[in-house]
Amino acid sequence: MRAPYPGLVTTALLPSPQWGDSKSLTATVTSQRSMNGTLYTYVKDRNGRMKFHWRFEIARNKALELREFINAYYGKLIQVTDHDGDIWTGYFRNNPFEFMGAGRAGPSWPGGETMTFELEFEER
Amino acid sequence: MAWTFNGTGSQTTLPSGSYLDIPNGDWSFTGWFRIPTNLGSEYRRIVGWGTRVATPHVQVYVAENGVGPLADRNHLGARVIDPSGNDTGVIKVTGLNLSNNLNKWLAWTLTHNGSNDTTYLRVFRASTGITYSATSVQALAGISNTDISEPLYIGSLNDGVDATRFKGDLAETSFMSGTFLDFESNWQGFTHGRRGFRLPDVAWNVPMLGDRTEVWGTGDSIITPTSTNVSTATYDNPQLQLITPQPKHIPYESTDPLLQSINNTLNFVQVAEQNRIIVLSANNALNLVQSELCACDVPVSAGNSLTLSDVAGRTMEFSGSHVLVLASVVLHLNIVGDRLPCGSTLNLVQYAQVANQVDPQHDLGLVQTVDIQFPIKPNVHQLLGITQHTSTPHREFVTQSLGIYDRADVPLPTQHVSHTLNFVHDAPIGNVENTLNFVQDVQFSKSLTAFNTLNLTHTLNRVMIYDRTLAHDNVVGHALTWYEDSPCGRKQYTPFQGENTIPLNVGLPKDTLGDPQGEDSTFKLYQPYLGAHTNEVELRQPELDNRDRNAFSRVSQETRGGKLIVFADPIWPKVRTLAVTVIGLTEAQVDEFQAFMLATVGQEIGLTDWEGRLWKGFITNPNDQATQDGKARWTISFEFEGEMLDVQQPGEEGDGNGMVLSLTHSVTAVIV
Repeated sequence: MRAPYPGLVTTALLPSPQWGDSKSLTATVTSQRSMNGTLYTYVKDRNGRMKFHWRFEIARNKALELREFINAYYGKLIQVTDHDGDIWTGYFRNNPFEFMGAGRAGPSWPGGETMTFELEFEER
Repeated sequence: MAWTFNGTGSQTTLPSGSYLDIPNGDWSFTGWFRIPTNLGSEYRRIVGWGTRVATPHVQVYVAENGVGPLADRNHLGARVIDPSGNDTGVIKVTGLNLSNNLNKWLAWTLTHNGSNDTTYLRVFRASTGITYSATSVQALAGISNTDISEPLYIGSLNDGVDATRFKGDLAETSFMSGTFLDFESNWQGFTHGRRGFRLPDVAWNVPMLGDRTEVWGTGDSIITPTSTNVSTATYDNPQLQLITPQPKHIPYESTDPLLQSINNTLNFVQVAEQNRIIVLSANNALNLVQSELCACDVPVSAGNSLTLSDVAGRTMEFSGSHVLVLASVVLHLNIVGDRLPCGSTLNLVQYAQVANQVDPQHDLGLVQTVDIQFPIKPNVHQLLGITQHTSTPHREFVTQSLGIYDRADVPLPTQHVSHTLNFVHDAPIGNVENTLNFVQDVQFSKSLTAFNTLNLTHTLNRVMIYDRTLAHDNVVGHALTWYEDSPCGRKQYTPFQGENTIPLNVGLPKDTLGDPQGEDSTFKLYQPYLGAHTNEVELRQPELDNRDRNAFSRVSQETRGGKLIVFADPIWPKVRTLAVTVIGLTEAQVDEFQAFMLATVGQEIGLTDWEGRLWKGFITNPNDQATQDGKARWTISFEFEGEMLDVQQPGEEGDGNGMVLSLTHSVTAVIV
């Protein structure tokens, strides 16, 4: 993740998300049927914008870095290069951002703990 | 601050006076005390009036560890004897052992209930919030409405024995014509230091909260006690700073009386009546200066009246000049309700007594009175006349003139006439405009020619050059970031920083991880969050599955084309919540923690988490249940909303003195 877009200054490097990640369209459709049975659909395609949901398991120190990154850029444009190599530009959509202490970790995980963190990201 | 009595010759003496009298009905002594040691064998007096065998007398004392029989030790006691020698007996608060409460602030009150003639003694322990009380052995009616004719001693009896002097700290020693027993909320307010609480019906009060030595007595009187071997102690009881007596008027402390008005009247009179004496010079110099310097009051009005009068008769040569300067300068003049203008009113009156063929001329600006008794040509110079009005039934030579006017109605021909008219603008303004109209309106005249000659000369001197520069910040900047992908970089705190010259860009994340400030082996909650802790509880470290929630305020909109726009101002509120669960607690630990939450509910507390990081905030769910999971195994969860203290805070060194704030206001009002 890099921010602020387009004048990128800071890069936060994260591992690939855990299984269960998702991406979805933000388009919505509303249907209404008239008295004579005619079906009308009202569409907001939102220009094909995508919404992503990722869940990370990270070291305690990496969680602190991620919190500092969010604290600086929670209202700014973010550029994300996902685990498939695709580049997206959009905003964080979590509120609140929640870090959960998941368990103890070995010495190779700085901080001695693992933490889980879910990130919602929506394309601009 | 409090006052420390060192126990050697230390006492504070309130001089005798009617303010010490004990009223009819209810009354109460009250205050705070703290003792550092309790190894002696004496009764040390907190308040003493009269000797121990005098009638009447009142004393409140601390019974030390080695005094008398065991039943009398380690408690707070009191005894009251009325003028007839009737005795309340020794009132002992045995529920609170003073040897277990060293260096702790304890509130006390000796209160007399006039409805049942019973006297009570109460002690409040601030650290637990518990009040202990004792009742008089027998009713005592005669102590009411008692005239106190002797001084009252704080920290001593009047026998002057060091062994019976109080040794420790005292504060907020007061006397009220009322009882805390009838007004339970008053006692709670006093001991818990509720914000805005005022002691009711105070007869006198020694605040002991600083270096002030005066006593607030009955009415608006100020009584100054004398103290020996008493010093100021370190303030570490937050409840003391919130208690103040009922507001009373404090008179202006200066020894100078408050000036309400200033009037100066000074007459200089010079009279020369001898015919042969020529007064060559008569000068009056008079300076009237009124200056009021006051930090809090502004005079309502200040005025100068100055009359200069020159009268000269039978003079061969006379020159009289008046210089009158009226100036009003007001600096920082603030008047509640209105702002009064300041100004000077100047009335100039000219009177001409005409004896011969003299043309009277009136000018405005100077008062000159010339009586011509002999055919001597006077030198008259009129500066600027505005309006002249002559009311006469006869046909006279009447002239209305505006501007410069010279006329000499004397037999000799006029030698020289000169007019000078200057328009002078001396101000840093950009537009200068002069308008001068000459109008001649001749209705009945034999004049054949009427002409005006007007010469206007404009001279513009450039006296200053303004250099104005306009600068534009460079709105084009660059930003650069980089990263190195490595296994360690994916786990460590390594925010990859870059370069940025873009104006108004957001602040970067911190490039270093802050070091913990506290111990990481405990999980502690305490109050206050800075300085020495007065209330503290320590728990086991919480379980995993703890939550660190960070909520931000943002607004998001979609354009017609479906584009998402999010905006957040960094000053908008951010809420951080810590949710933890602690297991394996004993019932006593749960009780202690719930007592802490009750004492600090809604108040700001401090928290040292399991990583040694310091927080300040409050517990949002004190009503969350504690669950018993097994024998001597309890679980409790709570959420703490606050902020992390990233740096060493002032006052955290332990004594709290780093929080002292000094403000000085100085106002000067001058009217000249």
